[in-house]
Amino acid sequence: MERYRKQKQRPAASGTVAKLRLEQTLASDFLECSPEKLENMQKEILDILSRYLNMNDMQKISLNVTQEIRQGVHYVKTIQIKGL
Amino acid sequence: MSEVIVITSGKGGVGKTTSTANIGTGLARMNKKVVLVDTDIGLRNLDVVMGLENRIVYNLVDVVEGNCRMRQALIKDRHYSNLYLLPAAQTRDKSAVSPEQMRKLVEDLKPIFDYVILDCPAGIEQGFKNAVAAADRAIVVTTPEVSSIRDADRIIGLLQADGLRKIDLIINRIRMDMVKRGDMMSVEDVLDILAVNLLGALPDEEAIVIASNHGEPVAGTESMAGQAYLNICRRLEGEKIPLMNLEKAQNLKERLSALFRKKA
Repeated sequence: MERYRKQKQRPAASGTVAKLRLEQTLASDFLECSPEKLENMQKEILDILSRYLNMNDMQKISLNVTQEIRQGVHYVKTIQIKGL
Repeated sequence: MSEVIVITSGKGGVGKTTSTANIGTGLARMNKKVVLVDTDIGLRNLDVVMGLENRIVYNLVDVVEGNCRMRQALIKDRHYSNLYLLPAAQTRDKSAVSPEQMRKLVEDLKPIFDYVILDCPAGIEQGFKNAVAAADRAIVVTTPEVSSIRDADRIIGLLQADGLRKIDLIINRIRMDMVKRGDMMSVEDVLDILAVNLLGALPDEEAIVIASNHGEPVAGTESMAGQAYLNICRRLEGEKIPLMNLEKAQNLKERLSALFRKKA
């Protein structure tokens, strides 16, 4: 969501906007979690991490959510917490 | 060994039926014995795209219910004697056929044909389940739009859960001029998100609309889409064919007007 807003400030090409929106939608479909909730979670996780760790701007943090379904197919969605 | 392929998309109107007709025609051109099965019971359309709407006597439901023999319901294509259509019923609905009946029907078709191609209805309900139950592999059709890619992602998940051994993607209605301007997702963008094997990419071309107006598939004609569909068929046959360049050769007038559009 954050990335999408940043893109929105300067006039991004609509193709890029579409891709970002799509990634966001697929992530929240997959996790069954609204984009707002996802954004809050990202903020909170970052808050907690920075309470214990010395965070700098160069660090990238992401969360891999894996779901196993029948036939042993794995779905992995990466949620970007910080960076990129 | 005959192959049973379901052509599906989730979202409606992305080009499942057009793709079915063209892939069938393309494979028939390559001298394969092909049957196209319209599984969209109640909303049949493959017959009009193929231009065979006036020849229908019996349909898929008649075969399943034993009102006629399989051979009586199969309609021979106007151009290729090795291409057949099994039309859907128009006055019934999806509940007229069960997944088991569909499997049985396809088993009966398999000994006669090299390819059994199932045109799947939109949605993920009964009609989709019927079509998928009988298939070995799937071709998912999408356009470079948020809504249809989202549906394609969901469909791919459902197909994987169903245990289909091979899932390929066709990206339809690409407009290279818009991709160049950055106003449309490119083939690479779509593949980033969907992560399945790309079978082919098709340009948004007037020739497809004109051909379907006449009830003639474009596969094999001079048009770019016609060539792209032939490439898809050759890839289905296992040939390694690079993606074609979807940019159309512009004439001087078009090039000039594109130049002025950029400046404005």
